[in-house]
Amino acid sequence: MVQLLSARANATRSSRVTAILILSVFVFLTASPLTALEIPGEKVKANTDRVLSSIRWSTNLESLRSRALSEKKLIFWLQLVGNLDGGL
Amino acid sequence: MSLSNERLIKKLNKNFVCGWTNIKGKESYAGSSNTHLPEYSAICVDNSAGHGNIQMFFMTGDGKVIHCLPGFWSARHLVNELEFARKLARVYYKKSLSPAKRNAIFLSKHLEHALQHDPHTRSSSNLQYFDKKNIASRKKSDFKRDKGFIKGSLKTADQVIHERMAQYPFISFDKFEVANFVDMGRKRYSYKHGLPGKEHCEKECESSKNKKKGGYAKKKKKRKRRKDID
Repeated sequence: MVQLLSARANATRSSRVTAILILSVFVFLTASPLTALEIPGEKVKANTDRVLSSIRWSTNLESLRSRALSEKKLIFWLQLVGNLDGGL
Repeated sequence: MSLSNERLIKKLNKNFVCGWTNIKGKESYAGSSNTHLPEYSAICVDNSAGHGNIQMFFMTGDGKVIHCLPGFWSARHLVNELEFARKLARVYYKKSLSPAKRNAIFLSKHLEHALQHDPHTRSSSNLQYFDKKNIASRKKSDFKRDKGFIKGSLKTADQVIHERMAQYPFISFDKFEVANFVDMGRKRYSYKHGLPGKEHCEKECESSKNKKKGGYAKKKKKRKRRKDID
């Protein structure tokens, strides 16, 4: 009888442990995308620097048109409230 | 900033010449928000959020608008739209097509592309809560579904953008009605996320706060009713 009771107790313990494990895995999986939504300032700054240094930008649409025609390319024109290099 | 995506940069450099302009105080449709310096932290938002603050135009070399994306877009979806713009540009340069045929293709391609958007694109293009509220309060809006199975719900921005673009077949940039095109809800809202002393956004979390408040208020009411009954 005692053996049976101890066996039952062990079983409930192990089931608790597995439940806690499953719960923690679930919390980790659901929490990680939420934290990924925020981009720290340093990353934003590095991304902005990359955009400015990797792409040749112009602020004149007319000159861009003639460049596009001569280079046989399309135009990507970005309109924004603020400056690309000095904050939005 | 989605534009910093490596794949996107490669595609832009290979196929496009790039330019930008500051529309603050110059255009009626320009949104207004706090100055957000590059070193401030930012949050990822749904596609088309900030439609008054940013507009991305894809144009032919002679300045005909092929596609316009208002607001912020995730890099993955931006690449897809860029590819679509490239394909549509080929139609413009096909000399064998008459202008009428070309325009008809423009219309159908935009609508087809909207239909082909995957569930992830659609679910990532929901209007922000304040824009939804604004659109819902209007008598008429192309975001509203007047007919069909899911009557009453609002369409996602990715769908409406293509529907609106279909109305402007290869129109020159000067004639493109940007104000109408980017009208997707409120023009002004306070974006404070990342500002010094405002580490956490206030307005953006307003909806969740309101929901909580609403929840608490409902619970309080229920408790009061129970007490009254007792």
